[in-house]
Amino acid sequence: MVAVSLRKCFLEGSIIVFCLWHMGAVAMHLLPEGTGLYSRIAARGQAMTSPYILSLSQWQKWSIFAPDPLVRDSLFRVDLQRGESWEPVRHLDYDHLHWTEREKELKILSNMESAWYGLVPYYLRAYCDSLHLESGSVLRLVSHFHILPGELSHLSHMAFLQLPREEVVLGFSTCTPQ
Amino acid sequence: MTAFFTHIGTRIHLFWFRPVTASGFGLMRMAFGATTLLNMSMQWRNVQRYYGPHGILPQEFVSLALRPDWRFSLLDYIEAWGTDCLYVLLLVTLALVMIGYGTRIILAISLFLLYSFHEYGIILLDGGDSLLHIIGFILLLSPSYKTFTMHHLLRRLRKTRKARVKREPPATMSIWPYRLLLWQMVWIYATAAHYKMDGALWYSGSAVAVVMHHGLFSRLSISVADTLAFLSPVITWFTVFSQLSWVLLLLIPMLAWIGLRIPTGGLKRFLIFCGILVHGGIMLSMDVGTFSLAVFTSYFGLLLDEDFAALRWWRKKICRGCSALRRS
Repeated sequence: MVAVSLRKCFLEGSIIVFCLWHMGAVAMHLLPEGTGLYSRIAARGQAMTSPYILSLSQWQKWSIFAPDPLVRDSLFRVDLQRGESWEPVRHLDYDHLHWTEREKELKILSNMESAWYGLVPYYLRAYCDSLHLESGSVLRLVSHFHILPGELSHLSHMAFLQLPREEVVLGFSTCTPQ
Repeated sequence: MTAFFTHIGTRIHLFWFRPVTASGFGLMRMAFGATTLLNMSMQWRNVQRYYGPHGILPQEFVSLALRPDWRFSLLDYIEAWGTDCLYVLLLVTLALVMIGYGTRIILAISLFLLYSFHEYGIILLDGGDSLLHIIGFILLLSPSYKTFTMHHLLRRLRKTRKARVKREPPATMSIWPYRLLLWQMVWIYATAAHYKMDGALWYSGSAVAVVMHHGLFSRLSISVADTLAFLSPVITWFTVFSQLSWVLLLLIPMLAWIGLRIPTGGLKRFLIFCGILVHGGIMLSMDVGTFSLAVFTSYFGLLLDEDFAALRWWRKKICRGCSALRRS
């Protein structure tokens, strides 16, 4: 009877310790950045708990649409080189992408536009196959963007404003034989 | 003195192990299976591009592009055909989790595979994916297999065939998985509100108008977004305040330490209702994948006995109102 009670106590104690550890680790991982003593304590706590959080894939960041929503509004396009000029071969925007792949494709494209430039050649490589292009064909990924205004008065008349768009080439890829 | 320690021990025991209905976590498990299955099956055309060894992130660059420490993905080590096999296996296990077959082992396999896919395809992850793998982990720790499983369904069918049907007592579980989930949700909303409070557009009230006009995810045409822009300040501030209010679910119970006991069940249901409005609005007006569905999934786990009773009370009230309307 005593053994059963002890075993139960040990089990319940372990669960409580684990819950407190998990809650502390999540809080440490999500603590916003600060300065002074707070930042030193947070850094120490994060160093202790990050192996647990990262190895169990519990990493997270909830800065969705923050500190401000994305104001760079881009349309993407794949161009094929024809002699000296470039011919658009695929439009990658809300209207042209299939509904099942729209969200993920646009997420990848906006990530490549902001940070992951190095992956553009590998992203374009898939179009060599899907467009049945010959080896040696050159593709480029273009972002066609404008910056949305922050003022509500302008945002109420966007249909009339017709903001001009700028073009940026994000990267190139040359098709190779598969 | 002994009585004091016994009292403290009882309070701690009740705080972590008070029996509550297992229905909320059972529903959350089903919703987790359905939402993750939908999320992953929408990628079926691009499995090799997103996760294959010769896709957008070639296998040889994984060590350069992704974090080197405390990361594991099966996809780092397998060929293209293996990626397809694991993808199919993941879909099958998620379907089994949804219907409640095999429960904990199947859930563990599906999470292992899901984490492998997420850890490889970080470039395409969004908030919904993050929330799903967090919910999955809490489900794995909890006895989410106690309700809404194939086993229970079959047992119920067998019993209804018998003449005398004795109603089973509702399945219960200890409250600690609920506490883990609530803690997680409060931190999600608190940090989301904190980040927003640093933004000028959230202060000025134009953040929602910007999002409604954004070509990457807005479902609204420019003319409709222009017309609705006047609502932006109200929706913007409502979003921030409703997110920030989740902190009250942690702060108010702490008042018990000074002898002030204020129940928070009503506040929690109100905040869930606000969340349904905000995330329902996001789902209708924006294409942000399964983010809203993932949030709704987590709300199931936050439902306790008193919340189910409140829901039944509201349903009765609405039904009575409807029948009175029909009669009149």
